[in-house]
Amino acid sequence: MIWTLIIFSGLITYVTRFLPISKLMPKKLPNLVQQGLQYVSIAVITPIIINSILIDTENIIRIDDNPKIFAALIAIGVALVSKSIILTLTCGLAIIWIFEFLI
Amino acid sequence: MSKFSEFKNGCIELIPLQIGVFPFGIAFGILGNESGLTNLQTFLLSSIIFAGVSQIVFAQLIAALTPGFIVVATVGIVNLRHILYGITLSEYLKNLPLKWRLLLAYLITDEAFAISQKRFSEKKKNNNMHYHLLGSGLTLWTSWQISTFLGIFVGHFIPDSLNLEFAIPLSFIAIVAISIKDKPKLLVFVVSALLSVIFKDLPWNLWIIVSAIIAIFVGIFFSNIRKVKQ
Repeated sequence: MIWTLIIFSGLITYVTRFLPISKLMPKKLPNLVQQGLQYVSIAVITPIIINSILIDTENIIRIDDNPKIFAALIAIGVALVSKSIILTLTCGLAIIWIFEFLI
Repeated sequence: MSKFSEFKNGCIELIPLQIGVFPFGIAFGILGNESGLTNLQTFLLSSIIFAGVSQIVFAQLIAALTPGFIVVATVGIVNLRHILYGITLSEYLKNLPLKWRLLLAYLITDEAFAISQKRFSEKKKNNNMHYHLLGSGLTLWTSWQISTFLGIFVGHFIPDSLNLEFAIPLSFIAIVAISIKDKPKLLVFVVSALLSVIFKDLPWNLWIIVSAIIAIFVGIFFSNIRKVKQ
């Protein structure tokens, strides 16, 4: 079952990569579609971020006693200023470690 | 420039991005194990799908016992951004023989696109430019396989207290924060964030798809209203 899903997910991923360079797709997509595609990354990734920071394994929203929220807010700030993935990673993890080991 | 120097430049220019890719791959390797995937499944996901965000989504949805068609549909939506990359690249790749396009399509990722698109848009063009994408793509592919492998087999030895899996949302935060460049994108961010909390109890883990689709439509709607006003 899982292998089937892996193969199908692989296929659909490959199709999104090959289709636009395949000559099968119209050269110019409608403006609205083109616009929508620009929002896909943010629209899809944000829910995953929110879910992994706010929601615990029992599907309950956790605001109190949740250092991840603080670390995430700092990480957003660092990302906006530095535009650097590695700096964002380092600062975010450092804050979690400070909470884990010092507080 | 010769085929080899284009290829070499592609490889070299991708190397700085490895600093971000490597921890991400390791975190994916660890996540794969925790999601109930076998070592082989986790490892092969990195070559069969070969797209970080999609693999993370895949593993998380599998761990949450999501129905198969929702898993594949969600992965599909996550991947729609490749279409934009392909449209941009097709200007340079469309005249290549089919076997080249079949190969290069497999190597189109956020990172390789960012690096090779820069090269393609330079003034000094030639007929060997696709070797640049081959170089950047293969370099990323290799390090993605190695880091996944490390995550799977060395991940056990990394103590839980280091919270290394937190590298995943942190990488995502960086990706999203860097790509919010105008008001409609900011709105898409806020709407999808709010909706994901509101819809967290939807059956079958539909929260990703539903939040994303509504947020995309809000973004389109808002940016067109802005245009009309201007």
